[in-house]
Amino acid sequence: MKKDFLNEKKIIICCGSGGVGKTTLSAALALEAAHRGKKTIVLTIDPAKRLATAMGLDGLGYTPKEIITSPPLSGKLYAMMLDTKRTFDRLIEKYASDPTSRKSILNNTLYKHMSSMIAGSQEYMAMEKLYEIYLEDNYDLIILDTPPTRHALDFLDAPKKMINMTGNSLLKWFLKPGIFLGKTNFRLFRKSAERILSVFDRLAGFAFLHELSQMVSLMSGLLGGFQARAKAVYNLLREDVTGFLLVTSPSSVAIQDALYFHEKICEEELPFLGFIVNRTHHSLDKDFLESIRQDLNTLKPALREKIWDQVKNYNQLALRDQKATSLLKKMGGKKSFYASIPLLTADVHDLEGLQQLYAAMNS
Amino acid sequence: MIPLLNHKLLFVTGKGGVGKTSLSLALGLLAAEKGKKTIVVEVHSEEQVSHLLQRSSIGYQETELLPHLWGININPRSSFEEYVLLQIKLRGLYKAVFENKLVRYFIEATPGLSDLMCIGKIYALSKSYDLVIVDAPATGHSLALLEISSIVCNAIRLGPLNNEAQKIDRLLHDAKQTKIVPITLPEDMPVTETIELYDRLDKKLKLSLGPVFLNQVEESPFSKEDQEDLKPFLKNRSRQDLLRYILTLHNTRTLMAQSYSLQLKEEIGGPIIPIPFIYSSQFGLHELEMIAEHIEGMDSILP
Repeated sequence: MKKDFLNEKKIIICCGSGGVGKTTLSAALALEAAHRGKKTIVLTIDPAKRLATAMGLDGLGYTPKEIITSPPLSGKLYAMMLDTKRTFDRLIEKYASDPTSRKSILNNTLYKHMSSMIAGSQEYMAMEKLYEIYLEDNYDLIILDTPPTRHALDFLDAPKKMINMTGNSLLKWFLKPGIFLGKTNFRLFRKSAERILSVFDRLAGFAFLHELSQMVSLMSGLLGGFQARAKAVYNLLREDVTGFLLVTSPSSVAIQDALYFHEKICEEELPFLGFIVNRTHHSLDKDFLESIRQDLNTLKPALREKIWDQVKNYNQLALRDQKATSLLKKMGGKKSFYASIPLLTADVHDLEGLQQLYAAMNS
Repeated sequence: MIPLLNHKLLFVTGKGGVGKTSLSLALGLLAAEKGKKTIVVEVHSEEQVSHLLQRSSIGYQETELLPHLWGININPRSSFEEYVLLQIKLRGLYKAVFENKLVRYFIEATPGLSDLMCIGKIYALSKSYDLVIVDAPATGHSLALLEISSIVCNAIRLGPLNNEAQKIDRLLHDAKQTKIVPITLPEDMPVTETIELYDRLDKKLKLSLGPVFLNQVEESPFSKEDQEDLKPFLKNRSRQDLLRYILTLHNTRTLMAQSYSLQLKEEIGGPIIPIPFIYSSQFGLHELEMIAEHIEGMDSILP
């Protein structure tokens, strides 16, 4: 079943902890899909400078850019960088009822911080952009490189959190307490609302609440639009066209994260594709080690020892990798895909490198 | 120059997967060994400290891991609860107000509140330990954490939150007490990110930076003479490809470490401290001690 998910899916979401090569691998998968004749786009967060240059994303790559190769690809390859702040702004522009409130929101101090700092907003915006591109543009395959978050939850929960935040109308409730309650509950409710407000007031001071309520009243008009959209994103993530790939390295920390991600993906009933373990070491069998030992006999003893040390060091890492990957294989079960990519001897920073990376992947 | 371990607060930061937790613990081991009451603080994370030390999870509890070395995993919600209870001193009222589902969403959604609560807790810990080492979240979140006190000072002019934020901001900006300690790998992206982070912290946030740690540095054991001897050996076609690959791999990584170390030195100017690659099929206390021992021999770490 080598890599045929590239043919089957329309959306592939690459997750994993930071530093495992997600960005590079996403680009390599996209390039391969384009080789196969697909119109493909890779949405990326923060590619390395030289790779960004190779993909035409230096400068402001916040709109899809086509990557021209020679010889030309049989399909098409686009790349785009995600800028979460701008996506949020565009969302406001889309749903704000009139130009004045739009402007007030975008200028509100709290909004300015909020759009970049709200819990999970970066994660949510990646999902949002994915949805927008899926709906509005006509790609055969979209590959999303997810934000390097250590908190798997933030990322998977992002659409849900957004639904809750906007849908539960805590914000509306601060504005007009009572609109959700019958008269009987109202007195009780108002008492607790006053308590809450007074606590916040003591903590934060009046100015803060004022800013907040201003932002809330401005944004309340948008809530409906946000909520419907967040729900649609939530659903899209669970459709058959979508698949989640878990990218990891064999280091124990990354494997821990990968297992945690896997658990979450299963819990959330998201369509799981499989694991890709990047930067592995080949396992060295006894015969190989023996043949090297004999081969080295032709060298001076001092040099022989040095080489032998390097082989032993490499073998230690190969042993570590074996342990880690067998754990993943067990967790993934028979249905999921499993591949590893041996450590390359050079940094990947151009299209040729991406192709080599893909070619090195074995399953 | 004040030795690194004589500070009050160290913020170990860098891209995901570069070894922040290992460095935090290694520094912690060293400080504890010198008799400093030290705490390693994880921030809202999947607890790697307990995993590395192969012990039960730590959680929001100051826990003694080894003599003089403590650990805690802080999260915004518990920090918030602790803070509010300090202010209003009524658990009943807290429960009535803050265990409300709606209010919890509010806390999560209020810009920066969770970061403020975390940094507030870190500040509080600095009062009861000789040294607080923060195993900070990946770069982006770290910046948010380090920036929030200034933002709050500007956004909220009065009230207890403003007072708290000012105290925190003063500690963070006191170069005698606080250092940001970047760690990175000899690879393109982590190095680029470190340089950008350095500029931002140094120029924009005006925070004081400690040495940059360069993790997983390989050193070639081969002298020039060895390399001359190796050339014909490797050219021989009967040699195994895998052996050639292994030697090339180590060689390229040695070269990469050298060139990235130079680049960091040029762009940052400050000291770069290499941490050697640990070849081991597992990573635990023993490996952390190896790192600690190596760091101990470096300038400007110990008093």
